[in-house]
Amino acid sequence: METLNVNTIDYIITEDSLCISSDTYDFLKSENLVPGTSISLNFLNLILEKEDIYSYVLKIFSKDKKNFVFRCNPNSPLELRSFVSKLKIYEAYEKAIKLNLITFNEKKKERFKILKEMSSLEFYEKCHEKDIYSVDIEDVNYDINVRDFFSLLKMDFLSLALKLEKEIELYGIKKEYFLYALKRYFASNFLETSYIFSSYIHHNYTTIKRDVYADTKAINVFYKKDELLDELEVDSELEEFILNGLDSSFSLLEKAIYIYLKLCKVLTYDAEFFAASQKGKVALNHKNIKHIKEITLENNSVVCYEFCAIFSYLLSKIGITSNIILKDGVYGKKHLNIEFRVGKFIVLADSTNSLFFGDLFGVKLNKPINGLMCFNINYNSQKEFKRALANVYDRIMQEDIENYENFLNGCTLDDLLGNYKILTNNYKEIPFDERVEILFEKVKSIKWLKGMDIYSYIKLLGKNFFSTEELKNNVNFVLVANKKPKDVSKEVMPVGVLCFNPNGFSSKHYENNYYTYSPEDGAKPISYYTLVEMFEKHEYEYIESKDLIEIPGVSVYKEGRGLA
Amino acid sequence: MIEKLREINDDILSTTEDTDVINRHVLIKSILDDDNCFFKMNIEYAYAILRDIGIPENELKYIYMKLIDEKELKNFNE
Repeated sequence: METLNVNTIDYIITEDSLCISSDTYDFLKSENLVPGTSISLNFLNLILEKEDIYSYVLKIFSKDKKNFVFRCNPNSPLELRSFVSKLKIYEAYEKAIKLNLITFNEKKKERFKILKEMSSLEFYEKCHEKDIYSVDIEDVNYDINVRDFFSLLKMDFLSLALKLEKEIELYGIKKEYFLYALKRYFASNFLETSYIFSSYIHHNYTTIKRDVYADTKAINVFYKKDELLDELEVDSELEEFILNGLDSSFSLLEKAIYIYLKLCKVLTYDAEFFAASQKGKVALNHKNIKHIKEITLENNSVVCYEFCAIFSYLLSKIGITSNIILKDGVYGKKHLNIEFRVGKFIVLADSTNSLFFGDLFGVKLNKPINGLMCFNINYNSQKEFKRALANVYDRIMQEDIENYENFLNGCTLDDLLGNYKILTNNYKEIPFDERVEILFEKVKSIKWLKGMDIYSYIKLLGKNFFSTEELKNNVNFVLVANKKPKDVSKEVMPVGVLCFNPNGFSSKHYENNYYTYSPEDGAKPISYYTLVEMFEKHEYEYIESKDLIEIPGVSVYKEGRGLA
Repeated sequence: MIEKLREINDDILSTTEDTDVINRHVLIKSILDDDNCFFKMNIEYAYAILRDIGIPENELKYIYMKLIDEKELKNFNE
């Protein structure tokens, strides 16, 4: 086979393409590629060598055609198409020159120079500087001078930054709208992929494209009310419960977030649907949008599309239109989420992006939100969204606390303590001996109380230190009459007798521990025998009382004791 | 003294997002609402509450003794 070269290939130039055979196509498209590019050196040489092909290329570059098109030779059975952008052609030339793969003579040099000029954005600008770009923005038509786009982009970076930060309008149009129009103009004309940008213009354009100084994300984004919502009915109690909690001080975005979080709090994923692998008769029920009216605060199980439908419905009640992203236009076919616009924010909500870790479960445990996403790329808008989310989440947590507190207000202390014991891991038994020790320490420190108040206080402490069972079987504090008090001006004074035994009161009474207590003498140990002797000598006597409690081993009925 | 415990408990409530912690400390808040609550509960509950509030183990007895001190009885009516 004859080796192809640029001088031997056959081709036909039509209005919009270069027609070649398949062999020639391979020669020009795939062979002898410039390293680091997908463009063949054969193709590049062809352009510079052949007058008619060069003219054709110039035509492409000058008429804003995006691509250089190859088509098959009309006589060939194969259809070949390839689209090579002029920017890629230019970049391949630069690379080939850098690698010394192209040898320039004067003619080629001149041709390349013209190609280079025509690849630049400046060339485009010159060709279009008088153009008017007509665009609809938020249902209003604007006519913008194309030269204004370039004027802005040609500013030095700092001046541009200052201008975009400070000014509300650009060239008589709201700043965000102008920047939106600029981005749209550049995108719809493929300027970034077709022309060479100087580095500073590229930098400025990238800054604008990334919404660094102004948020254009939501401009011209409109959601049409889903027709399926026309059939939708939501339980009125559920609706009221959610919407009545909306704070009038909330912004519209915060209201939308509140509704989402509240729905996550009150609804739960349908366990039956999950267990049925989301198929069969169980699934059929949920695919019927009329089923939604059966979802209530009590019957609160939902699946993803039901959540989305209810959320969409409630959003519409506060004036927000949303788009339930239906798969293949069918409700109930696949996993659903919902998109909506609030002012400058575009938000996606997906409460069941993960069955076990999505918001439908996580919000109940106050976990971080992972199903509400703000699509705006502007940093300030992102910050604003996060702040709104945090504010509403705090408010909902506060609501929960207040509701819980209200519930607790109706409880007794015993109820509270009982509930508390379930919730704490810190309830630990304190050994009997340790409690006795603490009691003694406390009793010894009494300074301020006087008279009967002291004994009342000790009894009170006893109730807190020992259980009812222990007060019956292990510890006992009885007030008896002391007929020989220290204060000789008194005939009789009370004295406390404390008896305790960690193992239960023993019938071998000498095994119990006995103490007397008086304000004058404090707590003093006393042997069982000495105590009995005090009673037998009538120095101590029981005080008459219908609730008389005996000191273990010191029976009131034994002869010689009796009551005071 | 109990006022200080209330403050600490409120701090915990305002800085946590954990539901379990919130529920527990809302309960504690309700319990501590009563100035004489420590005279009405057993010592084990008292210690548990002090631990949950963050009182170190080696200070429990000291703090508890202060809480049930005779001077803390404020119009106590069983």
